Amino acid sequence: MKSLRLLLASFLLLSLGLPGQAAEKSKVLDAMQAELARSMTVLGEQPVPPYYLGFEVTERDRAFANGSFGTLVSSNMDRDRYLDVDLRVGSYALDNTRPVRGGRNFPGRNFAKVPVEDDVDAIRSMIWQETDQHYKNAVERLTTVKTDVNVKVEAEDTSEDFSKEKPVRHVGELATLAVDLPDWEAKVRRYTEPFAEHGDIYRANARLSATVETRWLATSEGTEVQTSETRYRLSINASTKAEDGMTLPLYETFIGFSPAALPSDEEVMRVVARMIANLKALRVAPVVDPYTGPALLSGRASGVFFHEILGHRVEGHRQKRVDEGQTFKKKIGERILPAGFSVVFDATRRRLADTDLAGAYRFDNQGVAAQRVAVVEDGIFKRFLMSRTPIEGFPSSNGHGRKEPGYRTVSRQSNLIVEVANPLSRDALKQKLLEMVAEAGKPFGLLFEEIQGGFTTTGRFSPNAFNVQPILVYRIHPDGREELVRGVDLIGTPLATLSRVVAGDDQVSVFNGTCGAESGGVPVAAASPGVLVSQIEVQKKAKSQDRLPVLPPPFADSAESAAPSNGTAG
Amino acid sequence: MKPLLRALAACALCLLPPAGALAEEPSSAEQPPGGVLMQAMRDELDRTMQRLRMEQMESPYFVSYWVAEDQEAGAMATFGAVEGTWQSRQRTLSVEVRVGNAELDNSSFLPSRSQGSPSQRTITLPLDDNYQELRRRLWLATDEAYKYALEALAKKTAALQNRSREDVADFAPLPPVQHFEPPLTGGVDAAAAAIEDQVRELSALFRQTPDIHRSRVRCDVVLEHVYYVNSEGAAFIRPSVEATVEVTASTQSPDGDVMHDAEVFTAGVWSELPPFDAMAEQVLRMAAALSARRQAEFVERYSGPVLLEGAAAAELLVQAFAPRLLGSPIPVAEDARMDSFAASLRAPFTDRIGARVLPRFLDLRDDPTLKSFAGGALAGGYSIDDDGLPSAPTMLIENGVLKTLLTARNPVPGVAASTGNRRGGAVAPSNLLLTSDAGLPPDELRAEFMQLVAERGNEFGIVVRRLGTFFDGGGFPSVRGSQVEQLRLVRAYKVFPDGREELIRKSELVGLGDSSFKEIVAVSEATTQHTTQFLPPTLWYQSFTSAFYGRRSTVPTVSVSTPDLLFEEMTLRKPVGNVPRPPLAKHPYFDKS
Repeated sequence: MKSLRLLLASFLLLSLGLPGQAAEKSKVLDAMQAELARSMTVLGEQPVPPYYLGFEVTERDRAFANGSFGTLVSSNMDRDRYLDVDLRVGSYALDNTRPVRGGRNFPGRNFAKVPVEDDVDAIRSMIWQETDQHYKNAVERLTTVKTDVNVKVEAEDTSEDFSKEKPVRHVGELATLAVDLPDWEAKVRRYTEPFAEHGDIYRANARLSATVETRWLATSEGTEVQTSETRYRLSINASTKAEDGMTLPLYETFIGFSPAALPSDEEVMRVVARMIANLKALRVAPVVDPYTGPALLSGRASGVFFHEILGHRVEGHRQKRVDEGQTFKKKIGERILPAGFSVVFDATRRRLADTDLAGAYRFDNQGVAAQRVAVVEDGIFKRFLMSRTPIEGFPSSNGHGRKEPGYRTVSRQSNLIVEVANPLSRDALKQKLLEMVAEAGKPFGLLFEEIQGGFTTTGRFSPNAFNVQPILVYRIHPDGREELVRGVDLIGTPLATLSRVVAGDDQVSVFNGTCGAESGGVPVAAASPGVLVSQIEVQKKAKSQDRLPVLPPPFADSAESAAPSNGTAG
Repeated sequence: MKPLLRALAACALCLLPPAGALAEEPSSAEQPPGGVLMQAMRDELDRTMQRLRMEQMESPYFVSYWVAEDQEAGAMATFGAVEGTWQSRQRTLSVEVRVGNAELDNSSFLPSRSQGSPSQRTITLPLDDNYQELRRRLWLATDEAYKYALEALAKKTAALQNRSREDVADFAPLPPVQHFEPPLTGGVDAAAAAIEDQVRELSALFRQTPDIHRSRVRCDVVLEHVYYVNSEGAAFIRPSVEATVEVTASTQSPDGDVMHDAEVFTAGVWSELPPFDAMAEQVLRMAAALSARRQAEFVERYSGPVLLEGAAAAELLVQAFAPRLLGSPIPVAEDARMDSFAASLRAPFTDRIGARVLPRFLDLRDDPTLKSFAGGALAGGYSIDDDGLPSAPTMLIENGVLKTLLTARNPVPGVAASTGNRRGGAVAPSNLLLTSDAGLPPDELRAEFMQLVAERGNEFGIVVRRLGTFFDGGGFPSVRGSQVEQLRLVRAYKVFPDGREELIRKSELVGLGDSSFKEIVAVSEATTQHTTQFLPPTLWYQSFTSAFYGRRSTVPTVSVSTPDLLFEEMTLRKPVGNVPRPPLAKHPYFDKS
């Protein structure tokens, strides 16, 4: 198994390396490599020399336009380059990055920048300053790490601190930002215009953005990577309030690698019309009380559901940290889902169900090529998502070391894809739900259609629970009638909930979003068919206590026209 | 004198008759000032005052809308390369809602959780002049502000059931003035292209300075139009523009001491900034002084005469003296444990009105109407303050005696009316002018200085040419209560009786108190005009305790005109604290190994 993976990796390396020959290497990379060589020489003469040094520069060239209720709120372009330094002293086996038990192991975000102009001297001067600071911190921290190792009990997981990986060389083409901003400004106005006539919609925004993210990576192991990718994004959000003060938001997001991946104006206008109808319906929808019983999750809802309950718990580095819950650490080879259910994290996959997948990339933030990692195969738990932080039984990375600029890399999710071997039709799945409802003698089942996101805690010092925040929930009555309701979050604990997954349908859909954790926000996708769960629990949503506005909206105020338009205030 | 007259004339033209005129329908041919934006503000204000009232609760007795329309262009560079550029345009709204009455309302209240205070929330308005949408935003913001105000007043009233407070009202009356200036156009777009070259070239100067480790040049041009209406009938439109170039640099001595310095250039418009060569010369001089400090000696401790020259004298006034002149009332704290903190926000000079706070030969006034003074430019002025009071000079200290404090519409003991110093979310000075009839020519001042040194029996005196500032990266001055009592000296020198000067590496001015400024024994005849940012320790709390809903810009630009100041006695000491190691590798550009 291991050798197969290795072969696969080198094959990828080869095929990715070839097209790179044509592209031109940026001066940024030259500056990084020059400073890398000098730093290794100068710092190599110190009593505690670095054994590894990696620089990553991330350029973000952005354009965006924000509209609200038919007007333009802002539109802008900007460009930044962030610098990350990974400097390690000690050895692959034990270095300054090892978590200190009981210590503060994740420093805050480091906002080091380098010039956006390709001036080698200026870029090197900034890299020099950062490297010096990182070196001093690393030496100091290694002392703390060594003390921790000697003073505390022997660690449960005695694996090394940094995996050895083959260096990678890839110089890809640089993408450029091409956006017609005035056109975008017109679009965000148009997209939000229909909300304007509704006085009970209190927020309605559309944001179009394009970001060219160019990353350069240079390491003392010889890795040299230059990649560049453009992402386009349209997000529309709107909210209303119910009479009881509950804020009811709706979100629609489209992400793609080309402008063509964004929906046409006509499609957007249909989405907007649907949002307005749903907001109106939500305002008057009944509130559901805490409930436990069977539920259907749409593809997008179950994508997020798996992202929270499974995804965050299979991030490799968590299995090593003593303050983590380590739900699946000892579950390798055990059944955690029904037969026929597989969960893969495929960072190489760029498109599924007619949707671009936000969690795709070519190399992770440690220069390891993106891979497809099957975490659950046919219901059996197989492996973790790995960065270059080894854990017991998993000595190498599988290309999931990710971070936002300014943070330290850990293992993170990419494109989560739930695959079901014997899918049912949506109707058959619903029928199955109705049978369960009848069997359990419940008054209704629930359907989670849309979610805004979710969160989970994986630590040991708080209950290991998750919370998925639905925004469109339906009650499914025994006669099959679907009724929109509001006011609940989907909650539970991971193992109990996974064991209640029953079946899936054939309607795969994708949730693209940004996942936040200790290494910052990274783009991810979660794709899944609709899933039936035999028992879920919902709790009351946190709710605003503010009343509705006292006065009617100005444009629908019948008293207003009667008042003198220039009356003296008082 | 000429610019002053012109400024006054311009204001007189646009001062319209107050209040009464409001009732008249504007003639259809005549566009009301401020266009759609101002119309939406007026209409929503009228509706609010006539109809906004929750059941069982009272209506607001005062509402104002303050909208800042900002257009900004900027760039930042280091070592000859641009690090980033930005251009933005936005409109932000701040609503002021007062419930209760002028004696007791929801302002001057310090909530237990100042985190997330609505006075710090940014409320954006659309850039488009879309009447319906502007009204919607105003409506929703007013509704939230009103509800927040009702809660604040209820909490404040509850807190006052068990505590008493200073006998002052919460709100002072102000005659409603209408003041409309024509809009300013251009400036920012034109500057945007030039800014990049400017920061790149200025930052490239540091390629000539091997001993400077870090440097950065930042430039900003901001064009702002403030639109204001209130329920008393006041309204104004006030455009302003400002261009700033900020150059910061730092280094470490061979044994690790970290040192910072900065040069800042400010002008009303981009084209009025000093020519490149003049800025370059000053930047290189700063870099030379900073480089020289790497090898300079410390002064362990010094007590005796100190001469503050030029910008150092001005920064001393801004950082340590001006905050004592701000009249801010003691807020009622929601949590009684915050009482002593709330009391510390009160300016110590509140009790000194009528007492001597400076030597007899000094006068101090605040004058927002001036654009220049004694041949130097002033940038802290404005035509009308953010409460709608047309600007006018305020005599603060006459013959050394404190006459009044700087205030906005919240009265403080001894000052019942506003001096027109509401600037954004806080009370702040504009142009501070320290003047004297007894200024000495340079040689006489130096002789006086040396005389004092000799009398004191000291081997040398200290002359200070530059203080640390808020933005040079060297950290903030330390404060006790609400007042600065310790400042960083950046360019300071020992001066020996034979005139020889010796640079000091790093030192701090300590023990500044309310009476320290009476120790000024002589001043120079010549004066310096200096512009900087005003950031007193109480600045943020001024917003937290206000009745503002929505953030107002809060770091005002102030200018100072001051002579050199000779203090009979000041105390300096070597800064305490850990010293980091110097860099292990050399700066790559200067590494010839």
